Amino acid sequence: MDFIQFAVPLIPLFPLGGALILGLFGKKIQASLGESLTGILGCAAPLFAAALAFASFFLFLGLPIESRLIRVDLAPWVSVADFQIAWAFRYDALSAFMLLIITGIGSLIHIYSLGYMQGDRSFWRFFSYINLFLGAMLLLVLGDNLLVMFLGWEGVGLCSYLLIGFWFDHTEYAAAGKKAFLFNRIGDLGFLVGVILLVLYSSLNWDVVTLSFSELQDRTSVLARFTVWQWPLLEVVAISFFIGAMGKSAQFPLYVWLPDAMAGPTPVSALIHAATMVTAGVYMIGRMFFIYSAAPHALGFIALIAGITCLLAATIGMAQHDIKKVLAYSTVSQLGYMFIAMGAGAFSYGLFHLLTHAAFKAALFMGAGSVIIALHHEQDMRKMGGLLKKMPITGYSFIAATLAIMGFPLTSGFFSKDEILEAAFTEAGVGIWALGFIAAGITSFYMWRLVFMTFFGQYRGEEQDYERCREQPKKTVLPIAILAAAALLLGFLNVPDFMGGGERFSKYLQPVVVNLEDQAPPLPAHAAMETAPSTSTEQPALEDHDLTQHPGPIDHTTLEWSLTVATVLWSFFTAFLAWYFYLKNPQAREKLMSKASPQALFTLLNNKYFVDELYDTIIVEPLQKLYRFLAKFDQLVVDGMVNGAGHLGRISGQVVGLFDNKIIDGIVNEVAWFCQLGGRGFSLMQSGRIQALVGASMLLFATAITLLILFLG
Amino acid sequence: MNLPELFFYLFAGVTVGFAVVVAFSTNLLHSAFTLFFLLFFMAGFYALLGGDFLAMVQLMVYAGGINVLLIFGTMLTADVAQPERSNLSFQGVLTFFSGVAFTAVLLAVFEHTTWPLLEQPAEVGPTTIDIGKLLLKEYVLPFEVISFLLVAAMVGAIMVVKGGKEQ
Amino acid sequence: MTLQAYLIVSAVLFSLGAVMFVSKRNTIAILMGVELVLNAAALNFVAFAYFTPSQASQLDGQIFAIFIILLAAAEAVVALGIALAAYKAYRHIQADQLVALKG
Repeated sequence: MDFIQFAVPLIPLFPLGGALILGLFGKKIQASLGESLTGILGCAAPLFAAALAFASFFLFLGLPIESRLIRVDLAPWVSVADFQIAWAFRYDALSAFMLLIITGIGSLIHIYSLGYMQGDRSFWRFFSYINLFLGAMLLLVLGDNLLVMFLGWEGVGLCSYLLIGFWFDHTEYAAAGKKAFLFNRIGDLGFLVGVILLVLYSSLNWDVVTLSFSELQDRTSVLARFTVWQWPLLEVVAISFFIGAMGKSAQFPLYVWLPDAMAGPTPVSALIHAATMVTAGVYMIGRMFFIYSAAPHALGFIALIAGITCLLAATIGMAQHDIKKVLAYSTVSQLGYMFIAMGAGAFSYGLFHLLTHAAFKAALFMGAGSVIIALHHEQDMRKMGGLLKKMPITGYSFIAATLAIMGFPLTSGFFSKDEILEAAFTEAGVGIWALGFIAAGITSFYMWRLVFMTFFGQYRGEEQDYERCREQPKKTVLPIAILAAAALLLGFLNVPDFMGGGERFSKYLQPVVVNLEDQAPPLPAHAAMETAPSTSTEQPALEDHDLTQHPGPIDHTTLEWSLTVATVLWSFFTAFLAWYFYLKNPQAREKLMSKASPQALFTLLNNKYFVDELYDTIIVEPLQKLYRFLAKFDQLVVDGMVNGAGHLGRISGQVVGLFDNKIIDGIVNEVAWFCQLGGRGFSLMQSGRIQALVGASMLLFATAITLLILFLG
Repeated sequence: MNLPELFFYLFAGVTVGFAVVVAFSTNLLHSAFTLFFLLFFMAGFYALLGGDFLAMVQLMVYAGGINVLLIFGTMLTADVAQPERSNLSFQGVLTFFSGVAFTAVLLAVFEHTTWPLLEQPAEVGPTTIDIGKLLLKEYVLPFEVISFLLVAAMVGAIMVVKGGKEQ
Repeated sequence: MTLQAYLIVSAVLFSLGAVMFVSKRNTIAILMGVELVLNAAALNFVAFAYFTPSQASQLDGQIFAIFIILLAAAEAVVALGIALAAYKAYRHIQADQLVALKG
C-alpha cells in the first residue's frame, strides 16, 4: 500500500524527466558522449517505470478486493470557489493493467528503437519525444479526474504530431503530422464539450465539483435525470466523449489520419499508432462505463460506427501494397472490434482485446520495421518475398503474431475476438455481429496475403538487395520475439465461461469495470428516481426488458460454440484463399484481376474508397473557394466602391468644369476662388496629422459642452 | 483628517505633479520614468477605493509590464542624449489653453451633476474571489474576447516588427 | 473622501494626457499621453463603482478597470511595434513628419 502510494507518482515522472533531460541537453549529450549513451539514457526511464509498475502490480494483486483502489493526492490544481480540481492519480485494477501494457510494451519498443534509429541525426530528439509520449500516456491512464486525463489526452496528441512529422524535412511527412493533429482536434472538441456539460450540470446540483471518476460514478444516477434540449444529458455526454474517442482512436469518419500517420518511424507506429495511444478512446470508455451503461442509445451508436469502421478498414487493407499501410488499416479495423465490444456493453472484453491487440500489433509493426530496415527502407510488398529464410526470427515471430490476429484457436486473438463477436451477437444485434464476422475473415485474408507476399515465394526486388538482406541485431529482434510469444499466450487470461475458463480477466476488472450483462438490475436508478415522478407501469416494463436482454448464460452455450466454430472456419477459408491466390497459384489471381469488375473493386479499395478525395471536395475545396470568393469580393466590390467614388468625383468635377466654362467671367472667377478656398480648407484636414484633428475636436467638445451648460443647464 | 484622507491628498498631489512633469518634460526618458512612478501611485488610489486585486494588477501589468515596454521603446528609438525640440509651438500653446478650458468644463460638469450616491461607501474586503467568479461567469465572453485580442496584438506586433515574409 | 475629489484628479490626468497627445511630436510620448487618459478613465470607473449604487455587482467598475488595463497592454504592444517599424523605415518617429497618409 505504502509502496504503491510512493511508486505511482514516480511512474509518469521518470519518462517525463527523461524527456526533459533529453529535450534540453540531448543534442550536447549525443555530440559529446555518443549515441549509445543517449540511447541508454532514453531507455532508462521507461525501464524504471516498468519495474515500478510491475512491482506495484504484484503488491496490488495481494490486496483484498475491497481495498483495491488507491488514490494519490499530490496537490490542488484548479481551486476556484466550488470548482476543485486536484493533481491526483488513481491506481485501480484498470489503470494497473493499462500501466503494464504501456510501460511493458513501451520499454520493449524503446529497446527496439535503439537498433531502428541507429545513425539518425536526431537520435536524441526521437528518444526525448517518445519519453514524453510515454509520460503523457501514463498521465492519461493514471489521472483521477477528467482534467488530468485530458492533459494526458492532449499530451499524447502532441507527441503523435511531433513523431509523425519526425522527419519534417519531407514535406509530405510534415503534412501527415498536421493531418493527424487536425483530426485529433475535431475529436478533442467533442471531449471538451463532454467535460463542460458535466461541469455545468454538476455545478447546478452540487456545491463542489471535482470531476473525479468516483464522484462522477456516485452522481450518475442523479445526472441521468437531466436533459439537454430534450435529450437525456448522459446520452449527449456519452456521445460527446465518443466523438473524442473517434478522433483519437481513428473511428469512421475520422480514421483517415491513422494510415497517413505511418510516415513516422516504425517504432512510433508500433507504440503510438497501434499499441497505446489509439486505444486511449477504448480506455476512456472503459473508465467511464457507468455513464455509458446509462446511455443505451449512445451504446448503439458506438456499436454501429465501430462495425462500419471495422469492415471498411478491413476491406481497404486487402488492397494496399505498402506493408505499413496494411497494418495501419488493420489497426483501424481492430480498434473497430474494441468499440464493438464497448458498444455492446461488454467493456471488459473490449479492454481485453486492447491488451491482446497491443501485443500482436506491436509485434507485427516491429517485424515490419525490421523487414523495412533490412531492405533499406523498401515498404512495397510487391518488391519483397522469400524473406523467411533470410530473417528467421523476425519471420517466425511475425507468423505467430499473424496467427494471433487471425484468431487461430487458443491464441490470444482467438479468445478476445471470439468474446467480442459473441457479445455483439447477443447484445448489439445480428447486424453488428455480421459486420464484425465478415471483417474477421477479411482480417485473416489480408494478414496472410501480407505474410505470403513478404516471407514466402520468390524475392521480387533487386537481386543484390536480397543477397545483402540480413537478420537484424539482437536488440531489435528480441523484443519482437517476446511480444510474439505474448501474443500467443495472453489469451489464456480470459478464457470464456462456456469453454470452462472462468473469465479471470473480467473478474479481475469487476471492481472497477462492470459489463452491462453483469450489472444488477437498475436499482440505483430507481432509488434515485424516488424524488422524480414515476409511473407505476414503468417498473414492470423495465424488468421485462431486462429479462429478454440478459438471459442466463446456460441457454447460450450451444450458440456460443457455433459462433466460435463459424468464425474459425471462415477465417481458415479466407486464409486458404490468400494462400491460393498469392502463393500457390498467382496466375489465377491475375486471371481474376484482368476482368473488369474485380479490377474496379480493387481500384476502389486501393484508393481507400476515395474518402480523402471526398474530404477534399466537400470540405477543403469549398473553403478554398470561399477564401477566393472573399478575395474577389474585396477586389471587386470594396475596391470597386472606392474607385467608383473616385470616378463619381471626377465626373462631377468635369460637369462642374463644363458648367464653369459656360458661365460669364466674373462669376466664374468668384466661384473658382470660392471652390479653391473650400478645397484648401478641406485639404488641411487631410494632412495626415491626426494630432491636429484631436486637438480641434477637443476644443469643439469643450465649446459644445459649455454652450449646453450655458443655454440648457 | 483621518488616515485614508491623508493618503488621498498625498496620492492626488503626487500623481497630478508627476502628470505635469510627464506632460511637459522635454526629455522623453524623464517622462517615461516619471510615468512609472505615476502609475505606481495610481495603484494607491485603487487600494483606497477597495480594489486590492486591482491595485496589484495595476502594479504588475501597468507599472511592471506596459511601462517597461514604453521605456524600452524610448531607449530603442529616441536619441536619449538629445532632448526633444521644444514643444512650445503655436499648436502647443493652443492645445495647452484648450486643455485648461477642457478641464474647466469637466469640473463644471462634475459640480453641476447630482450623483446617486450610496449612503455609506461599499464595504472594503478582499475582492479577488469575487472578481474571479465574475470574470468566469458574467464576464466570461469579454474575458475570452480580450484574451483573443491580446494574442492577436502579440502576433500582430511581431509581424509588424519582423516585416512579414520575405519573398 | 468624496466622489468629486476623485473625479477632479481624473479630470486633471485626462486633460494632461489629452494635451500630451495633441502637442507632442514623438510617437512614444503620444503613447504616454494615451496611457494617462486610460488611467484617468479607469480611475473614474473604480470611483463610481465605489461611491454609487450598482445593479449587478459593486465590483463591475473594477472589472472594467481590469479590462482597460488589458486593453492598454494590447495597445501598447501594437503601438510600440508600429513605432519600431516606423523607426526602422524612417530613422525617426516624429509624428508630425510621418505623413505618408496625407490626402
